[in-house]
Amino acid sequence: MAIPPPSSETLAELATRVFDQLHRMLPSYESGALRGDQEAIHDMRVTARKLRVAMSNFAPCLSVELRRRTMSQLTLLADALGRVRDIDVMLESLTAIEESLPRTRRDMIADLGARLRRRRRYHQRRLGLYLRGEDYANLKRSLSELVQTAGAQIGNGQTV
Amino acid sequence: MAKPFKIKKVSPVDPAPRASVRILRTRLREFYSHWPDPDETPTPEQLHNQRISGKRLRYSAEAFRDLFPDRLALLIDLLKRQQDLLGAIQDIVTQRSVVALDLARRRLARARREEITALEDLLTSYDARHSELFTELEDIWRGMSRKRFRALLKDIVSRPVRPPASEPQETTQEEVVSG
Repeated sequence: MAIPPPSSETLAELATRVFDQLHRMLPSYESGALRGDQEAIHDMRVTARKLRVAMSNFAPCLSVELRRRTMSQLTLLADALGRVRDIDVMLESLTAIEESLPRTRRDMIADLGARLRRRRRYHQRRLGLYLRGEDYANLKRSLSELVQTAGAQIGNGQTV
Repeated sequence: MAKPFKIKKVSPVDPAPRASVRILRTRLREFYSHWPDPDETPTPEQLHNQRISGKRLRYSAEAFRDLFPDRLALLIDLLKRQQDLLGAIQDIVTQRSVVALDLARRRLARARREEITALEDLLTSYDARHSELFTELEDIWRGMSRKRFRALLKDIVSRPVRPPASEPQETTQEEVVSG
């Protein structure tokens, strides 16, 4: 964050700032993730994780219902991204292993690589369906609600 | 996956520096809770949980970094090698299970002997690499489990920036540390 925080900032104000930043980052990776771009999928997954951590850290600033709802929505996003990302990591690792093998063995590993790429295409299609679907739209709405309400709680779901 | 430790005794109206100390100390305690004795071999689940807690600690440090100029960057650096090793080990565990499943399927499909052997050799190479990385991880974790190192990390997360002198100071540094 480029601008230093005011020294009298409360936890709720800090929470609003953190959620706002993360909430803006998520959609910036959408088009890349839809294209199957490895970096975008990885970065989107990391951002989803950061949001979950923020929700645990700033739990007193959130209503119980909003927190539970958003957490389970984030899990759907993380799972959809993770299925593609885990295969990307494995394919990278296999490429490195292939290069160290004799030719005959390399052909066998190449078959495994082909199977993994087929699996990746399948999970990428499912990721695309998710990102264009209602679950992801609901998540974005919940995140907007988080940003708007994080500063308004005084703990245990009570509003100031 | 183990749930995060609950953050206690913080309220939305608390000054952010004071609350951030509580949160970071909780995350640090949580990180160390999964492998309490470095001389005991952890289960795969314990290692997985520690990796997740390490990410929680790092992401928490990033969220609060403006309150702790430079200190949290130091914390992240100190944890980095252990986290990288944990990540590499977890990747091997995941990838090994994918290859093992593929091998089982290829056997059922009566694949060529050369293909089965290649996959078996791949599993063996994963096991060897896992063993190598785990030995290095154990050494690093022994160091990180020492009292002095833990005290250093606790000190790093206990000292946010003091508000400027011209502004009313609601909490002293000692109150933040003892908070």
